[in-house]
Amino acid sequence: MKRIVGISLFVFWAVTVAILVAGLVFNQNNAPDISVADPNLTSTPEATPEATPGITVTPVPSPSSSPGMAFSPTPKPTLAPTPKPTLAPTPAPTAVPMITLDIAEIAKHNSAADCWMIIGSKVYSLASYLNAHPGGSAIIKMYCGKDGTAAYTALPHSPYASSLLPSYFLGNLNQKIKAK
Amino acid sequence: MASILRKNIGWLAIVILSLLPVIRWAMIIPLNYRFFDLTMTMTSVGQITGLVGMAMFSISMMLSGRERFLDMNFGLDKVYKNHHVVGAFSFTLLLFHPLFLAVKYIQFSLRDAALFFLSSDNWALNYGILSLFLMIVLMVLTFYIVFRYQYWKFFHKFMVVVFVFAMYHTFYISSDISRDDILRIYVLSLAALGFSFGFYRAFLSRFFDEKYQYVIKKAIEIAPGVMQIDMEPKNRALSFNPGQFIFIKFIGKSISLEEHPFSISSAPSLNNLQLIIKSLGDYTNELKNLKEGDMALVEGPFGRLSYLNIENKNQIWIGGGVGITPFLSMARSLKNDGYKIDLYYSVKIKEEIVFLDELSNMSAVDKNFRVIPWYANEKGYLSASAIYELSGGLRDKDIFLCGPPVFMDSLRGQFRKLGVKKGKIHLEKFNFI
Repeated sequence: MKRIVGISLFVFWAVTVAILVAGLVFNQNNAPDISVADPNLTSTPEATPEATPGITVTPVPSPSSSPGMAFSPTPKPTLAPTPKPTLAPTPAPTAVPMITLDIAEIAKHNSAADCWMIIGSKVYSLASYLNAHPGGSAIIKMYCGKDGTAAYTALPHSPYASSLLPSYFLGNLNQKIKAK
Repeated sequence: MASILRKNIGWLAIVILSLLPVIRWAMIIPLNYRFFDLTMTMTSVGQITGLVGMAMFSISMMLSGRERFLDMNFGLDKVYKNHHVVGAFSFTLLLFHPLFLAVKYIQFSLRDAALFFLSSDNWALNYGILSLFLMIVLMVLTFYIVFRYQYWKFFHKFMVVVFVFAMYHTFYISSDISRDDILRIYVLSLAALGFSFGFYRAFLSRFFDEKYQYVIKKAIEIAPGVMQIDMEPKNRALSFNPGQFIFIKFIGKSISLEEHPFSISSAPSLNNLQLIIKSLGDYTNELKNLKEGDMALVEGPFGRLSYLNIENKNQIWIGGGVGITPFLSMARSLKNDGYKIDLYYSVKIKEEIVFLDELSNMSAVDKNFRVIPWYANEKGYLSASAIYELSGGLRDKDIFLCGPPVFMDSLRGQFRKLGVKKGKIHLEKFNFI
């Protein structure tokens, strides 16, 4: 028993130190203000263990793109709670380009970097949420550009989970919205 | 089949209680999603190690006390052994818990993974980190650093603090537990039980456990390094089965107030209690300072090593050195009710033997009670084959062993090699450290 404990302790410290050193010492080129939109890394201190997940989090899509971040590589601004400067030139006030959130349009946004999804006849842009998803990012990626309603309802999504959706809302299905 | 179940019911209960949360975990989300790809698989393993680790930690806390129920059904020595094994196992699982969960972050960047290990504003996570770190310190103290038992015991009580931090982490972190009522209720119940037992044992038992008060009537050295202590009850006398032991705290000048376990050598029918104690360390050395009139606080009785607990009346008792003590109590309780006993009393040199006259007299009177003294310096170590010869075979006999751990282990191994079934060999081992 002592031997198993000893080996486990050794492995634990070896891996932990390796990660800490590699992650902090050798990764200086990562922008220091990276906020990872993950409920397990940032939260408000007043967490309570209700029937729904206890930690309230305002998911913050990464404000800046930096090399090496897998989930937000393009400078394309995504929908965010705070207004972001757009990189495209401001369109002339009278002619605002519009797109229709129909199936064809949604299907164009079918990658992890640009992931639009239909859930219950509403359309969401989930690229910045992928790595925060408790069920993993892979399963969301499966439905990028598609209708994920069936999967969403089949798998347990609590009221808390549903409360996160509005932050990623683009528009209703077939609604005309401003082009991004 | 039924008897195998009964013998292992303790282990079975522990395994089942520890795995139930995993079964519930597997029901919350279809398994093909849990093991969708490598990252999800690693995350799932991280979740499982957390669940089972916390369940076992709770169970280990439940096994930290001296509950009569546990002693009566399993024997206190086995309860402690299970506490050790379950505790160590939970520690190992909990060490791997954050490592597997970190894989999810490594996928994005090593920096994220590093940040996962350091504290942040997420207090649920902070408590998890704190709890594990403190647990590592205490476990290193337990497994790798040798120091005086009383100091180790003081530090080990901090496991309750570790457990409280772990509970905070378990119930405030965003996880399957926070998302599923049934899982949360189960884990919370186990944890609440564990906390109650552990907290009581660590901090309250000294105030509430029943203690018997005894007065020392005689404390003399009867052989080199061997003391006989006779005590009279101040109020109520302890009732016990021959072969049981007590925890005792002596209150005397120059004697540490530590509490230690000793087998009772006197017969249960007597009011007075007798202990035979060999000088083996700091504490037992101090006992030379005991005087008539000193007080003692006794807690007990504990233990399942008693000839009365076995149906088979054909028994072989083997006492090594001061391990003769429980057999003295048993011999003094024999009442001609059909027991056929061969008592082997093994010592290194003749000078170490005690009460041989009394035992020989008993043997002279009761033809079913034979005493075979064995002096290792003359005949070499007592062996199972010698016992086989002298007792006319081992078939249909139950064997009791008491003595130094090496002595007991060696003989048990030899008996097993001679074909004696595990269930027919009875011993009590105290690895309190």
